[in-house]
This record gives sequence, C-alpha cells and structure tokens, in this order.
Amino acid sequence: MRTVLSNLISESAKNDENFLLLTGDHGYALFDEIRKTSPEKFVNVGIMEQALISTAAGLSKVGYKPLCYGLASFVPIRVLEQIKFDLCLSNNPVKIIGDGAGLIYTNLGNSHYCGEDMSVLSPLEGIEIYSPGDPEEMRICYKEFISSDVPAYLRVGKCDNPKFNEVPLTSTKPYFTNKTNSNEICLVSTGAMLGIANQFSKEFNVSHLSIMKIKTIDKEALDHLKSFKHIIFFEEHVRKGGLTSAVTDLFIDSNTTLPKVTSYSLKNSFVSKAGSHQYALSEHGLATDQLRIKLKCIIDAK
Amino acid sequence: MNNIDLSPSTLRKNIINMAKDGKSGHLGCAFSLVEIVSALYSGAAHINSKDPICPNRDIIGLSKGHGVMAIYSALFQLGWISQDQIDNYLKDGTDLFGLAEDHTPGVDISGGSLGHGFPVAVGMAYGLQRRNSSRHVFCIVGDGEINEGSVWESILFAGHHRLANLTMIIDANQYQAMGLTKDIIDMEPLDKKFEAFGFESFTCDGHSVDELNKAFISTRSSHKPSVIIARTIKGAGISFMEGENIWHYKKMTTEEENTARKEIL
Repeated sequence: MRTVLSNLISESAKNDENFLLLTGDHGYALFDEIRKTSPEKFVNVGIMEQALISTAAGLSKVGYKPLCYGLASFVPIRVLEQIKFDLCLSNNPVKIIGDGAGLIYTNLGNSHYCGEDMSVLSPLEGIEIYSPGDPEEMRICYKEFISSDVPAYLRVGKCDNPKFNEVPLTSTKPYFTNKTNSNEICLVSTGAMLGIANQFSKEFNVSHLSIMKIKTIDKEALDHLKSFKHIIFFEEHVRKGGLTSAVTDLFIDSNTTLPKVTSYSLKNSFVSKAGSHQYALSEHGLATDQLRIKLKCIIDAK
Repeated sequence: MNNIDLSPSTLRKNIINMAKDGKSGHLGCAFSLVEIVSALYSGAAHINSKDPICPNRDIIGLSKGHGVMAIYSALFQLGWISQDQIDNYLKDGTDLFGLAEDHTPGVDISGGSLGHGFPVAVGMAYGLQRRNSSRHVFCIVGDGEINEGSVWESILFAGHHRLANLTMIIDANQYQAMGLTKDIIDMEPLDKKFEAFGFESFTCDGHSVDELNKAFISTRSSHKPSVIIARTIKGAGISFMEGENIWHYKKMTTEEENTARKEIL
C-alpha cells in the first residue's frame, strides 16, 4: 500500500504544476520516488508540525495544492487547531496524510500510538476523511482525496496487508466484499481491518461491507445496512468519532431504527506493554483469535 | 491613494465609532497599531484601493487579530467595508467579528488565535518567492503573541528560506493580556533574537508614520526576511487608555467615549 501511495504522490508531482509535498521530516523511504523524479516539489519544512500545516495554508492561499505528510500522532493530533483555524475556517483545500495510524507503531510506546485521529477531525466543518484498507482502496481514495476542493485527511494504518481487491474500484462508496442471502448479520470494516473482516465473513458466511470514506460518509451505507438485524463494526480506531459513529449517526440523522450494534474498536486506553501489532491488538481485544471467538459466540447464539 | 484619508486621527475616530455604546473591548490593542496600519495602507504596501481581492497586490495580515478594529477602520476608508458595518459593529447577525477573519474582503489572513496568522503569512511568502512574484507579504504580530512556539517555527522557516518578500511588524506595545511582557516572558532583545534567526531588523517609533515608512522602504531592499520592531504604546492617542492594560478588555462608558472623541484631533 505504501508503494502505491508513493507512486500516486509522485504522479501528482509530475502532473500538477501547483502540487507540493510538505513533510515534517518524516516518511523517508516513502518519498524516494518523488525526491528522484520531482525534487523541486518535495519540501521538508523541518521538525515543526504547526508550521507544516500553517505554511501549507499560506501556500494554498496563493494557488498551490499542498499535501502535508506526518505521523498520525502528530498530524493531525498535535496540529488540530491549525487544521481547524488555518484550513477548515478558510476552506483551504490542503491535503493531509496521517501515517502509522492505529497500533502499528505501538512497539515504540504511546508517543506513536494514535487511535483517535478521525475522532478529533470528524466534528470539523468541511474536512473529508478517508481510511483505505488495501492498495486498490488507497488508489481510489487518493484520486478523490487529492482532487477535491476541500481540506481532506487520508488515514494510513497498517500498510503491509496483501492486495485484497483484484478488480479496480470505481468509487469510494461503501461496497460489499461478501454478500450472503441472510439479513441476520453484516460485518462492517474500515482501513486495516478490511482483510480480517472479509476473512471472517467467509468463515461465518455473513455479509461484509467495506467503508473507506468516513466523512462525508456516503448515504448508500444506510441503504446497504438498514435491513440487517445486527451490524458488527471492525476498526483500529476508538469507537467515538470513527466508523461506528459515522454509520450510527447516519441512522440517527435519517430517523432510521438502528439494528443491534456491536463495535470491535480500540479502547480509550494507552498501550501498556511492548510487542507485535497482533499483541497490541490483543490488549484491545482485537487480535484475530480473540475476534474469532467473539464472533463465534454471537453467531452460535443466533 | 492620495484622495483617501487614512490618517491616524481618522482611523482612531472610526475605532471609537465601532466600539461606541460599549460594544467592544480590545481598544488598547487597536490604538497601538493605528500608525502602522496608516502607513501600510497609505502606500507602504502596494494595494489596489479599488479592489480588495486584486490578485497582484501585496498582502497585509494581522496575526494579532485583537487589533482588528484598526484594520476595519482602514478598510472602511478604502470603501471595502460599509458605513453600516461600522455603525453596527458586533451587533446581532452582522458580518464583522471582533477578531480578524479572512472571509472579510481585505482581511487577507485570519488571526486572533495567536500564533496562526504569521505562520500562514510565511507560507504565502514562500509560495510567492517560489514563483518569483513581486508581491510582498506584511504581517503584524504582537509582542505578547511572539511567546507562541508556532511563531518561532515559522521564523526559523522564513530565515532558512531567506524570504526577502516577508516583513513582520511587531506592535511592541509592551503589554499582553495579563500584564507587562517583560514580567511574563521577557522577549528582549528582540533585534538580536531576530538577527540570530536570519532576519534583518529595523527598530522605530511605531507612532511615527515617517519612521515607519523609512523602515518599510528599507525592508523592500533587504535580501533577508525583515522585522520592524515598532515601539508603541498600548491605547495610544487616548490619554486615559495609554499604558493602562485594563483597556485590553474594558469597554467604554458614554462619558469615556465622549472624552476620547475630544482627544482625537
């Protein structure tokens, strides 16, 4: 997925004279390609996240199309007010990539743990949020993300998941990766949970819907989900302000009765021990084996 | 700009008109930068008086958005905002906020949340430098505002990239919201700090339009980013407000308003 992202960024640099990639001294290998092919479009502002966003706002005001890159713990978390005041208030269409979102860097400790990036951005007026889960979702999300005329955030979580979609996607709309005839249960995932949720849907013969655009979430999600009796969410993000909130808000806003809801999401807690990504997930009850047991209990009880 | 009255006394009268009837505080913040605004809009900045959104004009940002009544006052003289907007300032349902926001034509950069406007100005200057544009970016900051780390991040960036098209003007009125800057966070010596960060510094009497204009001319020929340290008095021009920090917050009574009007020549 990172290779796809690297190539997409390099393409933007080649094809758009106003494009600029700004980083706060992060993303070394990700930018090998753009540094080789369009070095004049690559700006390392230094280790200064506030200036990263505000400089991009200024560049946007004089006609550039800046893309800011940082680790999600810092961009957007550290610079939330810059995003709110310098980007959203003036509708400066600056694009932001938050890399390493979720638990992927928790072996480094809590400084690099970021489970609340979508939560803090969701309430802001005007910003759009994308959360792709495989290289193809990344491709279609990036295409829309980079070309829209509003501020936008691209959440990049665990990136070494295998390519899931073999057929090109045509939009960022929610789509079923597996659709059964039963309306009992639908699994719903975003981002890095795409593969495992699809795997479970096949193991347990239930439907699975992937949602890659969290804000503004497409209302088709409601049409897809309202006939199910039980929706089970999977997200490597805290429950409030992420996928679960986005979908349940759709039901509330349309006066549609919510089905039974279960959310497998990050706890509102710091990471307590070092370890692998699966270990970190296990602290939140989200390791593959833990999820399988929980799902089996639900399905056996039906 | 010859036929447009942008004199400090006229700008001060407009500020009183906006703040009348106890509508607004931040009078001290606005009065200290009146001469800076007068000089900028009278010619130091190259603007098209007929077009607030002219794409080729210089940029004027107010990072210390608390002084925005001084900017509104100039925009009114230019005809960019209306008499109605002045008369009804801060009344229900009106457009102008009590801190600078860039949805108002002529307010180029939002300010008020301190430490935001200058970094955005630096981004604009950087973009214009990359395009070899002749446009210059001016940005007014407060001497209290420069406590903010975000300002210094952008000072570093501007110095490194030698943004010669950037002029920061420090409204050095010696006060911030809760007291004297020297007692809270002493930022002096400002000139040496900025020079160490790659800026060319100019210090002048911030209530002398002539001195300000000389400094503005000098910044145009600098090969580095510039800072004008404008030594000012908070509440300048109104005797009972000068150096009295309560006028950061206080709103005028009718009696105070009448006294202030009499003091403005």
